[in-house]
Amino acid sequence: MPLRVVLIGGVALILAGLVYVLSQSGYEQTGSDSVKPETFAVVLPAGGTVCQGPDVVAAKTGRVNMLIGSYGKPGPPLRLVLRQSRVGVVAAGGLAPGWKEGAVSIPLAKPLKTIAAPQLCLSNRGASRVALGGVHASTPGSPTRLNGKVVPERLSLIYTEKDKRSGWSRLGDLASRVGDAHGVGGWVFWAAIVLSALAAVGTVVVLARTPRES
Amino acid sequence: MTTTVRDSSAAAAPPAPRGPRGIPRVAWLCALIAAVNALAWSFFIPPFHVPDETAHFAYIQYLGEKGTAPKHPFAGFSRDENQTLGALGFYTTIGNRNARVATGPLMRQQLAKVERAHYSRVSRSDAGSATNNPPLYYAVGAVIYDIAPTGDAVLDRLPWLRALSALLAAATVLCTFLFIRELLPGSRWAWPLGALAAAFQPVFGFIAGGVQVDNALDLCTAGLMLAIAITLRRGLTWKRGAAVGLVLAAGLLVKTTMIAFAPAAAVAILLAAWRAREDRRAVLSGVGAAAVALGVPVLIFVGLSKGVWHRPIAGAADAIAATRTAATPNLREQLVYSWQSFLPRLGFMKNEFPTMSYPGWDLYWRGLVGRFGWLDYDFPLWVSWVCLGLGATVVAAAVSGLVRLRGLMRGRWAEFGVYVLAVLGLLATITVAGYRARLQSPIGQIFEQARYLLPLLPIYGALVAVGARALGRRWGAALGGLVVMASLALTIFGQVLTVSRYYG
Repeated sequence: MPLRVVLIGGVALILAGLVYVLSQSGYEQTGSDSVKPETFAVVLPAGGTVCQGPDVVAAKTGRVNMLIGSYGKPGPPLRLVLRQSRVGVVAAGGLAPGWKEGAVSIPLAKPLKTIAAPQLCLSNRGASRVALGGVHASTPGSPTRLNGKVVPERLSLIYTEKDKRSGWSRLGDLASRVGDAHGVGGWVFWAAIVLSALAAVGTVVVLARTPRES
Repeated sequence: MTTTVRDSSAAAAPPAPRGPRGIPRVAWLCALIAAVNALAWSFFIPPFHVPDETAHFAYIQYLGEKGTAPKHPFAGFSRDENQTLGALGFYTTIGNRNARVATGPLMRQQLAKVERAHYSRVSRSDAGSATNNPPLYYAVGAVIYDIAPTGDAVLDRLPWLRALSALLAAATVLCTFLFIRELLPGSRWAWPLGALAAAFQPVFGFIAGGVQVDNALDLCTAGLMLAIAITLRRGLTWKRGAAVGLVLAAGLLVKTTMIAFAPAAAVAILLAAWRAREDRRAVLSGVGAAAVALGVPVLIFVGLSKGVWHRPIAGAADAIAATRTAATPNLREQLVYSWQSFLPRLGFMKNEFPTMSYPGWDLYWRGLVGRFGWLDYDFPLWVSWVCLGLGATVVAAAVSGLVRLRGLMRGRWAEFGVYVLAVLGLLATITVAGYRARLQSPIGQIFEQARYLLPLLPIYGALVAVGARALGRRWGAALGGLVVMASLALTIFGQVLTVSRYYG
C-alpha cells in the first residue's frame, strides 16, 4: 500500500510539474550575439549612441534584451534602431523614461518580418548616463562604436519574440530546433519524448509488479 | 573446484548466473529502461554538449581513420570536426547560458556546406583531453564509426556512438542489479529498487547520452563489483578469479582511473583465498587465474604502446604526476585537500577551496543531483536540499539496518571492508589527481567533477537496496520507490532543463 501511494503520488506530481512548466509563458528567444554580460562594459553618456554590428538577427525578433545599469536612478529614455546597409531601418523601438535597472527588455515597434543583418544602435536620450553589460573584448576590428569611435567592448544582446507564449505553443518550434541541432528533422524531439515516457512507464510497471513477484 | 564460503550469511546465495537464462527477467527490464533513458537523453542533448564529447569523438575519429591511437603533442581536432563545431556554434554556446545552439536556415546551410566540403577527418595526432586515455573503449567506438550506416559526416556518425553509450549504460545497470542480488540474495523485491535508482541517477543518464569514455569505465567498475561479490559470496574458483582479473584489466585499458579499484580487487582475491586456504589447489588456481587474466592484457597493451604505437602507457597518470616546478606537492597539503574535498574544513586547516563554501556540497552533491552540459546549468538550490533529506533517510536506514542485522553480518564485515576500500580508493584517486591538477593550473582551477563518482554507481544502488531492506518489505519498498520516483523526476525535469537551456 505505501508503495502504491508513492507510485501514484510520484506520477501525479511529475505530470503536474510538467503541466505547470509548459503552462508558463515566456518570451521565445530568437537569437543572441553569444556575448556574456560579464561586466558593465560600456558607459553610455547622456545624449550618446553606441552601435554594434552588423550581426544576424532572426525573423520574428520583437525585443532586444540587455543588462543595463542606471546608477540607482530611474532609467532615461532610450531609442533602439536596427539599420541594415542598402535597406535602411528594419526595426526600431525604445523605452520611455523611468524603467528599472537590471535585465532590461527593449520592445521593437514591429517584429522583424525576415532574417536581417543590421547594425544595432542604442541612443541615450536622457540627462543621465547608463552602463551596458558585455565584455571587454580585446580583439581588433571590433564592430562596436561609442559615439562613432571604435571601442574594443562587445555588448551582450539577447533577441526574443515580442509577445509571451506558453510552453505548449512553443513545442513545435522546439522540435524544429532540436532537429536542426542534430542535423535531422524535428522527429528527433518527439522520439526523445516518447522514449522518456516509455522509460518512465516501464519503471512504474516494474516497481508496481516487483513486490507481488517476490 | 568450488570452495565453501566459511562465514554464515543472511541467506543462501542465488545460483550463479550461467548465461542470459540465469538472469531474472526484471533485471533485463531494468537494463532496457536504462538504455531507453540514455537514448532519450542522447536525442535531447545537442551534439558535443556532454563534457569532453568533442575530445572523445576526436579520438574515435582518429582511430577509425588511421587505425592507430592518437598521441601528443597538441594539434587540435580534425578539420572536419572543427568545421562542424563551428557550424553548430559550439564554442559560443558552452559556458554561456544566454546562448542557444545554432539553428535555423543559416545554420542548416553552413552544416550542409561543411558536409559537402569533405574536410580532412584526420588531425595531426591529437584528441585533446582524451589523448592520454588507453584505447579499448575508442577501439569499439572506431568500429561503430566505420560501419555507421547513415553516412560519413560527423553528425551522421555521432548518434551511433551515442547509441553505444546507451548499451554500456544498460550493461552497467544489469551488473548493478546482479551485484545487489549477490549482496541481498533473500530480498528479491529490493533488487530492482537499487538498479532503477542507479539507472535514473540524473548525471549517469546525462553522461550516458553522450560519447564519453566514462560510460565504459562505469560498466567496468560495475562488472568488477559483481565479480568481487560473486567471488566473496560463492568462493574462489579459477573462473571467478579470472573474472576479477579480466574486468580489472579491461577497466585499466579503458581509463587509468580504474587503478583506484585495484586495491579492493586485490584484497577481495586475498580474502577469498584465505577463506579457501584448506583447499590449496583452489587457492592457487584462483589467485593464479586472477593474476594471468589481469597481467596478460595489460602486458600486451604495454608492449603495443611502447613498441608499436610509441605512446605513453599511462599518459593520464604521467600528466597528473607532472607538476609545475614552482609548485611542489606535499603530503600534508594533499591530505588536507582530500579531507576538504568531501568533509567540512576543520579550524586548523588552510582553505584549499577558496572559491567554494563546501566542495562536498557545491561540487559533488549539487553536481550529482543535476549539473548538466559543460557544467553550465543545474537545478535550483532547493532541489538539492530536498534530495539531501531523502539521501540522509536512505543512509540512516541502511546504517540502522547494518547495526540491527549485525548478527546476519557476522563473517561478512571483511566483504563490507572490500567495498569501503573501493570507495576510498576512488575518492583518494580523484583527490590526488585534483590536487596535482590544481598545482599545475596557473589559476588554481578545480579539476574535479561530480561525474567522477559515477563508478560507485553499483554501491549507490546497493545502498538504496540495503536501506530499503532495513525497513522491511512494506515501508522499505516505499522508501526505495520514493528514491526511484525522485530520480525519475530529476531525470525528466533535467531533460526539460536541457531543452530550455539549449533550444528555449
